[in-house]
Amino acid sequence: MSRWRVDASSLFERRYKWFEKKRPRELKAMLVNLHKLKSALDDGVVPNLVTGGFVHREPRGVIAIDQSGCEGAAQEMRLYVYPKNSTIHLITIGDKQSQQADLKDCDRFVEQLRRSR
Amino acid sequence: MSNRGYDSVSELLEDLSDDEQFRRGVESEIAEQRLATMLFAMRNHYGLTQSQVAEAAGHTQSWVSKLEHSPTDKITVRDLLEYAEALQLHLRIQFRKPMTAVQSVKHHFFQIKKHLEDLRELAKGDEEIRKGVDRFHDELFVNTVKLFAEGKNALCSPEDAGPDRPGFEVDVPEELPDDETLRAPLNK
Repeated sequence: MSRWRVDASSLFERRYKWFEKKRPRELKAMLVNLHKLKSALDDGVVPNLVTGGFVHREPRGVIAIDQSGCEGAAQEMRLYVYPKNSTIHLITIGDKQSQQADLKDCDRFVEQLRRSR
Repeated sequence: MSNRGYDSVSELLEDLSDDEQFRRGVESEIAEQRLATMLFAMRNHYGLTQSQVAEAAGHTQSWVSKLEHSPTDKITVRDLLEYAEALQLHLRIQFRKPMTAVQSVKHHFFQIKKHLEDLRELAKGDEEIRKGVDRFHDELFVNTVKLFAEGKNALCSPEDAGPDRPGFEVDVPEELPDDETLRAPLNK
């Protein structure tokens, strides 16, 4: 069984820096949840069959990982990922306010990825 | 679009994060939730939702959710027993010395040997079970030879083949059918 790899988009990398400074608790929880998702995929679970409180299905196979498990009062955040061909593509991170724009970014990312293949 | 790939979240952070304290915090949380991660992956492996596990365990869905986010020191053996039972699994807590890969293969070889002896014991005096166990031995034989042939071939490159080290050519038939008629007597 092949292990999944994690790949960060340039948009994710840019946003990451901001969240690490401004929302470290929520970001930490989302990264721990990302690790859990990866463990399930490494275990052979098909991406669109993964279920859990922090897993939210979005269009085109994108999964939004939330900050569940964060200690104390937390702001609602989403880490958008696209698991495909043994790679978890980290697309972007956002909050409730940026949700619509983030989903458009996800759509664009998936389209670009599909065209590049 | 980036082409940088990472084997783990920790590796990603090593490259991306400038904040060592944050990075250590994430790594420590991942380590503390090792058991919770295992439960999450296992439930998904068996294709069950949190609600289904909760119902089978006689708890609420939030009990499952809490377990799947808990640090190991907050999960009790009772929680694990109930979780395992809900997944129709046996829980085994084992203390053993760490093993090398070779020691692990040897350990499993002796385990297989023991289980086959148990099966043969079970087959005594029952013709139907004896036939089932016999077929199972055939199936195991084929699959084992196939496994070792694949391993040997992966180790031998064509250049290596020669009188001293011939390639391992084995004409192995396809796997025997894994049919219910074969298993039925064994499930008695």
